[in-house]
Amino acid sequence: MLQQVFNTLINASIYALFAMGYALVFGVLDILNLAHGAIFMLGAFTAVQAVLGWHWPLVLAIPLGMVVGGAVGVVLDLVAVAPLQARGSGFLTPLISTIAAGIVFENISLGLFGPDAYSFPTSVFPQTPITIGGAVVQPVDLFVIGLTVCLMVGLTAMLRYSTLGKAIRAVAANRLAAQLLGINVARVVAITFFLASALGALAGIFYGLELQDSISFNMGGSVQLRGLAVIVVGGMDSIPGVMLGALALASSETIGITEIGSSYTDAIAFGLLFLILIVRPSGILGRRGSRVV
Amino acid sequence: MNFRHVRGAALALGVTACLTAVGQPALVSHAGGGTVSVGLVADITGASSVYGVSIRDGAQLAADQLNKAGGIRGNHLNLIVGDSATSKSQVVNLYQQMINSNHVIGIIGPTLSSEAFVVDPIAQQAGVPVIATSNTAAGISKMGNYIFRMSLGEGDVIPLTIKTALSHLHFKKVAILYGNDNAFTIGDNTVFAAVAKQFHLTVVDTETFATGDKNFKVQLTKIKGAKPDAILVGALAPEAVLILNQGRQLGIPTSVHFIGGNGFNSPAVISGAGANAEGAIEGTAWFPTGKSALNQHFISAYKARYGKAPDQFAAQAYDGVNIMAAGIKAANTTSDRSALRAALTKLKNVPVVTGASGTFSFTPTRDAGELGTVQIIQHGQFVQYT
Amino acid sequence: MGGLSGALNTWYAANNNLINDSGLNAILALSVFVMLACGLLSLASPAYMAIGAYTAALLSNNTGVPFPAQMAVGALLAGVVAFVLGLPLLRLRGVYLAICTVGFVAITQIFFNTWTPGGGGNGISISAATTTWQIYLILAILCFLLWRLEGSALGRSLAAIRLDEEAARSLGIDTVAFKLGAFALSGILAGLMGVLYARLHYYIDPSTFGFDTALSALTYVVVGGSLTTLGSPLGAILITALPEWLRALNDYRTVVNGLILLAVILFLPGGLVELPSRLRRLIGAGARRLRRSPETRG
Repeated sequence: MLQQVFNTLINASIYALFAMGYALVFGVLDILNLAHGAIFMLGAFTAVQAVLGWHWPLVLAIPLGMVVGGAVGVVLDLVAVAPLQARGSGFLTPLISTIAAGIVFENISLGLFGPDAYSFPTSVFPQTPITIGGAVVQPVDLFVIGLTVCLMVGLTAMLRYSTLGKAIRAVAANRLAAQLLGINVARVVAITFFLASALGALAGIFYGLELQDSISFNMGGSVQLRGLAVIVVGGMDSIPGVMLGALALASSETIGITEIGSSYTDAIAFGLLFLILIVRPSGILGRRGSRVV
Repeated sequence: MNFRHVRGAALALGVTACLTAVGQPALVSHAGGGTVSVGLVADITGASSVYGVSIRDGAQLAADQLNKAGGIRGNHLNLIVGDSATSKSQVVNLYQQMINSNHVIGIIGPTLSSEAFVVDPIAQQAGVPVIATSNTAAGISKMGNYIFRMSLGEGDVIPLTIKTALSHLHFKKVAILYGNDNAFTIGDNTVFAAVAKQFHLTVVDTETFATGDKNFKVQLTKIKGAKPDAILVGALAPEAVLILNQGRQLGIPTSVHFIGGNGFNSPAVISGAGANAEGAIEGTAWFPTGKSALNQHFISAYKARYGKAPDQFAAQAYDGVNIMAAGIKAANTTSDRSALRAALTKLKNVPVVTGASGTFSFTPTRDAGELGTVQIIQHGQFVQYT
Repeated sequence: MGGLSGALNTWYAANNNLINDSGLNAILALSVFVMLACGLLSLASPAYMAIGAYTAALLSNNTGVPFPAQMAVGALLAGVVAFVLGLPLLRLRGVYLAICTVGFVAITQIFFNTWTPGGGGNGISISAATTTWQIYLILAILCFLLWRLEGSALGRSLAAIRLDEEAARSLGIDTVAFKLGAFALSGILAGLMGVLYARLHYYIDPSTFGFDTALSALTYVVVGGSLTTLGSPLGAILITALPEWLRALNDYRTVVNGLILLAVILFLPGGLVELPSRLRRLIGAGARRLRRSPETRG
């Protein structure tokens, strides 16, 4: 049914934006940033604070949220990740470091905003439902899907054609060689963190726009796990892979609920993950054998 | 292996042991003669903090009012508040500290039914009376004769709610949407299904979600497709708000009413769902516009102190403290736990703000001996629905 | 003398659960540790723990199977499941393996949520009880056994696999067998802990056996010290006790908790087991600088 297709596309957009953050950081550092869910949350809170507390228009609040999220990502890199990287700590210690950082961020948010859930006022988006062939769609839904697609395309182009994009790909491919070629690896990593976190923050803002009363200190939890599933299914190092993974996950969730029963949705999503990894250990579109950690 | 590691570990463990001894009691208490201590265990932080904060606020208001009026037979009521942070281990730790270090005469709490199942057997064994103000799953008071529950169970309130709704709306087909991972909302479903059978209603679809889910659009789309006349929702307040909003946004017609249990009875539902909350029907133990003087006084005192309207959890905690105090007064003691227990069973007609009648007694099985009311949200207000 | 024993009794009664939980968490940490010892990050321990816990619950409630047998059955069942899980997962590397184990935990949790004999989402109550000395005796035995393992040829092979799997294989070490063994051992340890857990707390429900518990267990190991057996119990005991010490801080409790974790991770890479030797080195370096004769001191 067309309505469920739209539901799926919205979910897929948010998952894709969020998972891009994981993919970017993992690409350059071989590290999973488990504070990403907290950054998702901080981005949403920043934007909602701007709109509700300082009466900014949404058009300014969204970039603000992204910038703040990106900045937090850079701070995370500088304080909790880069020093450990310099020591050559492998992938486990930075992972735990990001977990601890995530806990700190969540609790700062709890302290600042309390346990309640917040939402964007309904005035930020026209509420008139649009009927497309039997499906009832809100303008915000189309905004989310449209912007996500544009960003994915833009990101792919940036990575392929721009100098920065090439530098990022170089560092991702071989850190030492990139350094020898004169690339300032630490700077590229920091910029990658900024980009990844800004995208995660945007995902949080979209989530908050889509679902009323969903912005709370612990909103990152459920999306975090789904983001992991997306990059595994789609492959950690390709943007089309992330998009495909997000679509696959969102679709499996929808189909799971409609056909089998909502109790089993997560089991189906993770079962899918298992199956794919067993058949293709590098994910659907990941390059074979390129990620060895 | 490294013996220096053994030394390091031993040193650190020794420090730990000392710190636990010194670090307690970290729970703040007021010393000074003529004091009776009661523990309050609530999830003030963590996932259930929405309830825990209300519970703490309601309880502290009651305790302060009591003390201002002279305490319990002249004894200062020392309400020791412990944050269990929605963690079962911390609930147990708090109970043990309060029972053994702080020597409380009784405990009010815990917040969640699932926490109660872990920790109340311990209180029962230790002979410490517990009054539950927010547990609504089945089997709480069955854990032992020291365990009391003043919160109305869903099994008490939901049949009345549906019966009342039926008398106005005469629906035949219902859909059920509930959370399948905690005792409270699972209990809702069990009661919904039983009541549907009792009233010969057809359940056209049943959908589930997990606590903490924010996106119910897929489930609601499916429910919409099954064309029910009413939707029965077993959810706590945060999810209830999302369900109401998303359901209406997906185009579920306003002729299809949402009917819920305790979770719907919170001002947060009205503020969060706004216009989408119109027509939501819920059964409740506490009626915000109840006319009794005690209730009005409670509401204005709460608003004055905390700057917001109270919710059902605050009201129940407020009553919980007063019921505990009434028991302590009747038992005429500051430390005899078994005397308190006996007194609680014999309590009659304690003035309370919850319940339809304004007074409270425990049933012979130590459950809530009061009746719920049904209300509907109209024009952004809770209105009594009879 | 009576005063001291009275005070000890009170201390024990008030902290009973904390002491027991610390011991249990130590065993859970060991379950994560044995995987890390050969270089694998597995977050599946809560699933094994669930298997042990539900086994104990059902056996206690419905049969007369005695406690030691419950432990054996629970641990064995969990060990077998872990082994079977390991088979397909071994061809995955690092982070992929970890994410799969996270998926496994989610699937197991959903299973128990819908499995009626176990009470589903309502959980299940158990009548039996475990005592502190039982927990710590088992912990001590396990620590001793693992310590011996660490120093043995077997332990060195595992360390070799952790440091460089290719090299280990080329030296003739059967990496597959060792890694499967680690999986099974991890399952046995967590399953054992699950049995004890169920018998300690009067009630279990699926919400305990999730991702958060896995992250906590991982934190115990890393903070305590991931390179040696004793790091895990140390980390477990300290971190379990930490929220209770910090109670005085009220609202800032959890932020400070996270900050402390962060600090340990950033400044003590080998974990807390290294703290005394680190301090000694710092003090020693300072003392050396003072002792240096005036001529050589700039």
